[in-house]
Amino acid sequence: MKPQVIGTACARVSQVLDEALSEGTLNLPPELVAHASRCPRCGPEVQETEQLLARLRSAVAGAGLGRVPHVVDYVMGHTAAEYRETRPAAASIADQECRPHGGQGAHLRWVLGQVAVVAAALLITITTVTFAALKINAAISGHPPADMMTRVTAPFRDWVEAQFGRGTR
Amino acid sequence: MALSEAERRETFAALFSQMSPRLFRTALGILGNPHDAADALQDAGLKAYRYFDKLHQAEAGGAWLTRIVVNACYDVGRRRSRLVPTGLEPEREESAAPPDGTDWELVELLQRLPDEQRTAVVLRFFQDLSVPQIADLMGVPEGTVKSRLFTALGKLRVSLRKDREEGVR
Repeated sequence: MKPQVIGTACARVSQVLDEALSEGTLNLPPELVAHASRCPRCGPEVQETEQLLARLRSAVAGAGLGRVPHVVDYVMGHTAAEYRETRPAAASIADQECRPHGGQGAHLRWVLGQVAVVAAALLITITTVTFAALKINAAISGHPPADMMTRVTAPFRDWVEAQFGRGTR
Repeated sequence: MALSEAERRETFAALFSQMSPRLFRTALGILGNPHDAADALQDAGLKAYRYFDKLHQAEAGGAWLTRIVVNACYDVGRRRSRLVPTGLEPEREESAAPPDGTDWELVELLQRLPDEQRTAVVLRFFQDLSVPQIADLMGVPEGTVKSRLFTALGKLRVSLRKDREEGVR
């Protein structure tokens, strides 16, 4: 058997065929097409590659698609059902979040609690201010706070004693 | 995409219906039989609807759905590999319906390839995606896609040659 002589054209065909396998398309220049039609080594290689690419392109082109509409229907139907199921649940969660927890009674308790906290804060503030004022006054006038309170409340005390007859004793 | 629920459903239905024949062929190429392909398409459809809000560009919807289908195919393939073989031949499309135009010989040869090589071939020829598009979709460099295609097509060529030679004998 005579050894095959591989020339420059054969090397170029081989290179183009390698590119065809990497890219998935065969673009053989006209001069190489002419060479391949004559060359006993390149001709079958080119033909084999062309056939493979053509077969791959058409392998599933005629595949039966009978199942596809059913799958699409199932997916759209299932997601619609899922949507209907999740929607009321989402609405009720939103309602619960908007509503005061525990109903009307709990809401009233919450309001009363707020009022009590505000009242306590006011009482503490007034007491503190009064106590501080008495201290300051005592420091300036030299009288102890108890005397101050006695003098301030004296008219009221006299009136009460008069009403309940202590002065008649 | 900030869409109302009705708009969201409508947009998804249009995209999924339009893409589903191509996606089914892709799944058929990766999984090798129409039952599993339909399962993968269904799983992918349900998953895609759930995450449809994450699709920010409508024009990228095709590639996005394809990626989901490819992943669903891998999941179905893993589930299938866990099944105990019964010794029965898997049911083919032609056993239930008249033979379609699927090149089953080639589809079976594809199943002998590793997942990533098979996926590259399927996306290139069954989805008609370019090498850069496949690289983007699979999250690998273009060189890797070319290398996978080169190796896969080389193996397919050898297998077909062997089958042809055995057929001649």
